[in-house]
Amino acid sequence: MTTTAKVINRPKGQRWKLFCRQLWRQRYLFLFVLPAVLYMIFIKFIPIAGLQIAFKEYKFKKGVWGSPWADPWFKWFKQLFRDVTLFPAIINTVSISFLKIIIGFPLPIVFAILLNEVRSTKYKRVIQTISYFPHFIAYSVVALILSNILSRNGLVNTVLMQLGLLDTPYIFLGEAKAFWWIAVFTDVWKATGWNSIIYFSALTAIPLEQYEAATIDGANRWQKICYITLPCLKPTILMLFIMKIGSLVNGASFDLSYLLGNTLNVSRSEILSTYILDIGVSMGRFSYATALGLVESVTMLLLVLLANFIVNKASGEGLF
Amino acid sequence: MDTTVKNPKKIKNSLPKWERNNWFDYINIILLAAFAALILIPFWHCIVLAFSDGGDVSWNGITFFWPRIFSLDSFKKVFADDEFLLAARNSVIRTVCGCVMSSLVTSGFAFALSHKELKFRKIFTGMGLVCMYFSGGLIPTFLQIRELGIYDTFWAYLIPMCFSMFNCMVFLTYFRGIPNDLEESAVIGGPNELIYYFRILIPVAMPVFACVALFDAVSQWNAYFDCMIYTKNENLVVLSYKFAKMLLAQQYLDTAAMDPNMSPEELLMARSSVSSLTLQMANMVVTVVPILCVYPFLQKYFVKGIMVGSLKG
Repeated sequence: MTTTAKVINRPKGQRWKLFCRQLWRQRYLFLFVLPAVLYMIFIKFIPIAGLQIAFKEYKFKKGVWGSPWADPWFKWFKQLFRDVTLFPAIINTVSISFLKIIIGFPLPIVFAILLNEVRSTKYKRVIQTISYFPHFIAYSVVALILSNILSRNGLVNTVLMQLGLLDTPYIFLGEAKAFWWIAVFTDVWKATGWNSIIYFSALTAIPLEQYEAATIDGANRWQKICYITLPCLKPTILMLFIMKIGSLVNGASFDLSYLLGNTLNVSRSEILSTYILDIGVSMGRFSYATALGLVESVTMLLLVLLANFIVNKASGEGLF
Repeated sequence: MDTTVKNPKKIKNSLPKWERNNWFDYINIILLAAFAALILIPFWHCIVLAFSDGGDVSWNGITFFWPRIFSLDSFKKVFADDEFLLAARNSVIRTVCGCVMSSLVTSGFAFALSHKELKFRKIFTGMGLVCMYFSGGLIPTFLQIRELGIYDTFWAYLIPMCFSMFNCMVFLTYFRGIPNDLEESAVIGGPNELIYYFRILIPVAMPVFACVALFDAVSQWNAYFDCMIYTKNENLVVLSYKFAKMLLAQQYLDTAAMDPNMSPEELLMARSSVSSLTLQMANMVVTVVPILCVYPFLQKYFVKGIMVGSLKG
């Protein structure tokens, strides 16, 4: 308090000197800040500023800043609404993301609660370790495994035929209508264990006395889950749910659509991000692809804010 | 006394009612075992295929849980394949370098931010948060990578992944938990922050370094997208991209086989670029095993890291 008062009372030149001296004293700290700040500027902020090409006629030779403005400025956005090939990509993205939230959001909670009910710590640890495993596997490897398991004479078809459920092999990756489910279940399979970590940590924070008191009062397992565990998890669940809502527009996994998509299932496997890659990098329509990406991220932001608003209104437990 | 020792059933029954396993526990255990099986069976199946004889698999069909004819040929082929060795070398180099670089840059930033008296601290934090929530998206980032001149160089793997605000939060929370006295006494004793950071902070904060290094290592080892769009030099190929290519070739063949307009020559071409099932699986096993060996031992650390990150984020 006194030092700030002193600083304010000093003449301007001296204040400046003091400021410089403080900076000099922290020179090593700034050395630590420097790489990260350079990274942020060159890898993050300049591309954010580069979003301006969504409003420009991007010319490769003139670069991002030198390209002329589009006429009118919303030219590309107007084109977006007239793009017929874009429509199925939007439908696919939203459907896959929606199914993923519906199926993939409750599963980690259920998994965490069920695992928490297991008495043997050894069994618990083994299952937990196994459940994390798919998270560490690259999408390209997962997709390779999947394409082999689901192939004409792969594991799934062989088992189904031996059980007599199928007469002829089902070509999973060649059927457009199967793709959504393949994408959703693969992602759920990959992420359930990993996503449950947060719930585990929330579960360990619940005081044991509450369970003991409930036991003495004669509550059974189900009642304890309903009246103690779930209410204690509620803040975590709500927080993650708000963040998940934003993924309605980009929750569909790029990797699966890109790697498992082929000419036979393209009507159901093309999503926004593969579409952006396609028209942007492959066809070179940079401005148009950027405009599409911009619309996608703005929609995502709006959805998160909306979900937060609703949760705030409903229970007062929003994120911000 | 004697009867209880001789009769274990009686001990079990002497437990209070709520400590005993009931039908709920058994169903629960079975459900969880089924879940674990759902994860393990595909991998086990692939490992079995990798150890099977290639000709046998393609003639007599796949086996489920044990190789019909055990063979190491696929692995011999994998390790004799120059392209595989090159990709493996690149993957290892990028994982190690990327891990070290990103841990240093990220933890350094967190270390500086953990000093309350740091000038412009709020601005730096704000910048980090902006990075976390906003991004320029695919195309502007791609153009910037070209602009920086790291397109088609090894730096394209390292630089775009060398900082993460999420990991920075993990570090920051850990550093805040270290008593201030440690640094004060060290800095008064002579060394500056630089020496303090390398000599004292890194050993003290080893658990959090291990956790973040694991996150980075996994994302580096698994990344194929950057290899696909930021590089075109054959010498820069990495393992996970090799899989992506393998898969795309396989997909192409599968769809080509169903296309009546395909000429036999084209089909033959497509077939020649696809490696056999057992070979693909052997490649996969060699790639996945390093991860499989490492992550269970670091489990303790990454669980903690996630907790910290989620609480802050």
